[in-house]
Amino acid sequence: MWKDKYKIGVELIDGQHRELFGRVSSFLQAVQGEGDWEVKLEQVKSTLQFMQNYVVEHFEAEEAFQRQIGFPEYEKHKQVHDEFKSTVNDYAETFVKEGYTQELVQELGAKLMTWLIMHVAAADQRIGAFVREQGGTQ
Amino acid sequence: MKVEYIQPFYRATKDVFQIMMDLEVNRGDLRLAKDLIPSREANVIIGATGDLSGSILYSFPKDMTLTMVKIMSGMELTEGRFRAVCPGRSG
Repeated sequence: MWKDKYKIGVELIDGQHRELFGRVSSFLQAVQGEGDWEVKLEQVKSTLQFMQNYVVEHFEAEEAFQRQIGFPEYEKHKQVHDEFKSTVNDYAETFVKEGYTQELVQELGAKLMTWLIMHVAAADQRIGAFVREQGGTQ
Repeated sequence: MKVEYIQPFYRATKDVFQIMMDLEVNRGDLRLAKDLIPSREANVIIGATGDLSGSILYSFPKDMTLTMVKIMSGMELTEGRFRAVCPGRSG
C-alpha cells in the first residue's frame, strides 16, 4: 500500500506513516483473505487494538511536530485527527456491542485504507510543503 | 442544469483519482439524464441539501471497481470479495 510519493520529508512522520500503512495492509489481508472467519478474528482484534493505540501515538507526535514548526493549519488538522479517532473508537464500541461481524470489519478495513491514503497523500503533504517553504529539512 | 453545479463534483472526482490512484480523469460529453438510475455494479449516492438540493450518483463497473481497490490496497480481489469492498453503509 505504501508508496514513496506519500513521504512528506520529515523522517519521524514518514516512518510512522509507513508503519500505519503496513498495519492497515495486514488488517486488509487478514480481513479479505480466504479462510475461516473465527480463525482470522484473532488477527483482526489484535490489529484493531494496535491501530487504536498507534493512531493516537502517531497523531500526538504529528501534532507536536506541527506545534513545534508553527504549522498554520494545526487546529484544522487536529480536528480531522480527532474525528478519525472517534470513528475508529465508534467501530470498536460497535464490535463490542454487536460482535465482530465480517461485514462490519470489512467496512472498517475499507474506511481505514481510503482515509489513510487520502489523508497522508493530500492533507499531510501540506506539512512537508510548509517545512520546505520555511527553508527547513528534517 | 447549469454546468457550474457539476464542475465542483468533477474537480473533486478528478482530485481523488489523481491523489489516490495516480489516474488522470477526462470528462466525456455531457448529457442530461432524466432519472437517477444506477446502471453499473458499484454505486455511491450522495444526498445534497442547502442552496441546492438533490442527489449525486457515482456509478462504476465491477471490473473498474476491483482495479481501483487493487491500485489502492495492492491486493488482488476476486469477484467473490466484490461485495466486501462496496460496503452498504455510509458514515
